[in-house]
Amino acid sequence: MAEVGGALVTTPATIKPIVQSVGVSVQPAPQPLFEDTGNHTLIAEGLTQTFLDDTGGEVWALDNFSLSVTGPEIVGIIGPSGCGKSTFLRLVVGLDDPLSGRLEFDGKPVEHTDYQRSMVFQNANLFEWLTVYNNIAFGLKARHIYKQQCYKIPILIEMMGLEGFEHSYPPQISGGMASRCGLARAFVQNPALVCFDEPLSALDAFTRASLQDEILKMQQKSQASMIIVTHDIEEAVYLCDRVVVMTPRPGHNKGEIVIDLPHPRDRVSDGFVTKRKQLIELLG
Amino acid sequence: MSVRTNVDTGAGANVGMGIGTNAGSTSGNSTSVDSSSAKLAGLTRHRKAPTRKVREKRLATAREILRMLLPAVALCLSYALTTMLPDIYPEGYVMEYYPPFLLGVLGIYLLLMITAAFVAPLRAKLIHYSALIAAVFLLVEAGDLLTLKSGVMILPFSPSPDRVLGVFPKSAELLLVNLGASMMLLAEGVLIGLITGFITGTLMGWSKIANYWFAPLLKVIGPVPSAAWLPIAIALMPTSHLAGVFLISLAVWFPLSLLLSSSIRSTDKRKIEAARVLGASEAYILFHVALPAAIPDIFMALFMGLSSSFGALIISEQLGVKAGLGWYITWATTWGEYNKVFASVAIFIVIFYVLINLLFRIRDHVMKWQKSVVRW
Repeated sequence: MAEVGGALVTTPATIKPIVQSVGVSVQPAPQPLFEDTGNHTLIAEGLTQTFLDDTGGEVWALDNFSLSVTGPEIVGIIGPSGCGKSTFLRLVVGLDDPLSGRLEFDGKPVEHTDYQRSMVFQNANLFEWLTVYNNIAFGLKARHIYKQQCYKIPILIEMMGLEGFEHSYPPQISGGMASRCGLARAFVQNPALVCFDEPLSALDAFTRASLQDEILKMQQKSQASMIIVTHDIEEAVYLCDRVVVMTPRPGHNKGEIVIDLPHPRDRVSDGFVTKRKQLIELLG
Repeated sequence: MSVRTNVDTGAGANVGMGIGTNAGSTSGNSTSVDSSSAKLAGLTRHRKAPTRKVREKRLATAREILRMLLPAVALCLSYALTTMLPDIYPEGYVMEYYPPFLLGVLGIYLLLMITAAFVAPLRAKLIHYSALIAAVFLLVEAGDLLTLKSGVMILPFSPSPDRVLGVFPKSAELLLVNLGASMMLLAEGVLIGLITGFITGTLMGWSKIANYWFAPLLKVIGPVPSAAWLPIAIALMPTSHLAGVFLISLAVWFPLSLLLSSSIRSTDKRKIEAARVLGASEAYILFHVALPAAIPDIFMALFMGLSSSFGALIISEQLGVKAGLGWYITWATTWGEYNKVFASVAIFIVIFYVLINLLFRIRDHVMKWQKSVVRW
């Protein structure tokens, strides 16, 4: 395990030049990949939610949970499994309606799904019958803006290192590539807020490390707000500006830790280890 | 732990990602630190992958050549038997078509073998099917021995291969007219069944109201076999042709609407949610998520529908329709000309085989993203 840790340490420091060089080669594009849509705010106050499980019993998932996200910050949500993290994300993107509480995005209540609030799913959740290219194009086509914005797709494919796989189908590519494709599919929409539902949980350590850097890169470029639900404490400390800890079901706020370490973060630095310890203690 | 080892591990882990992206890479333009970080990031570009040595081209082993010769041997044996043995039953019958047919097939097979010497896939196929082909022709020769050469199996029920083969040149015109009529009827019925099946299946899968009204109809009408509907269809429809179309379309409509509606209703919720989050409208989700996801089931339904439509075709032709291979079979039976019945059945076998095969070809083309579930 120490060896793996050692290998990962070299990643953030050495990856940056490559990331930037890709960015430079992309910049001459005639139109921007991401447009500045201003500052966005998500306010969730006192959210309560229940859902029916497979046997028809009612499960109390969220209890008086509050969270607000403003501007380009990455907020992590961490907590024991089944504590309502994913339930909260479903409310944020508008897939479900809360039982009670206030949920507003840019001052308007969240009532239905909207391309501005996008989501990156567990295991990528790609459409198997579409090629990688068409998976990324799906949102643009669905909103009938494909012709105006299709120039974004090749740029994203290059950024995500998917060149040569544009015409492959999801079952033909690796899990890491599927996750990259899922990222591109969400970010081609120029979203203001992106929710991540344990996006990297099924990946191996190396792929996960490189995907984490991709996520940071996308956040830097798009200036979108991000909410990342994860089980992985190290991932939370590596990616997030602050981490919200939830209690076991029904989930409500247990505490919050602000992580003000500069990027790229060193996974074995004292600051990193301290934050990690704090988070573990808070989780109990 | 040294840096060197880290680099190796990183490269190893990203081999899968480098494939296909190494086209633009030039070797030796980066420092070791750069390349190690690049490999860790999974963005590049490793050295060219080793390629497998191209295996020497060889024709075939002796055993394979012997196997390939099996059908030729069987054909020669059949030819020898049928020409050398006297024609006994019925008295005075002169064999005309069977020996030239055998020689023709032998010629075609020899041509195939010569081609197979240069075309590897054909060679593999010939080797694989050679024993089967040989067995088929030996079986036909056994029929010849049991009928024409000995009279063990008697007329009119067991015509000799020569009599069956004779039907094709003798009644070619009649066969073609009836075949055309059958195919027209089948095409009309299948087309109408496809359209109505698609409409009701999609409606039932997507709308609860449509499901409320159509599902009971489907459950009541669907399982009843075509034969039971025939008298009613003939009574209700203005012409017997329309009755046939109705029966065939029913046979396609039932499995298609049933499987399509259940497939749409059970579309993976996660896919629908992904589409919704990406800003797709309900109609867009129906046509671009639910229907594409149902394609495997649609083809399964088409396979089932096409198979049962063949049954409906024969039944409707035997009672209702004035022309068609089914009608021809009934007509030949009443005259005791079983050689014509055998010939018609042979035509049906070929046609149905080709149609089902075509369907599976189309399916494999449409569903490149999925490995075939039902093999044909």
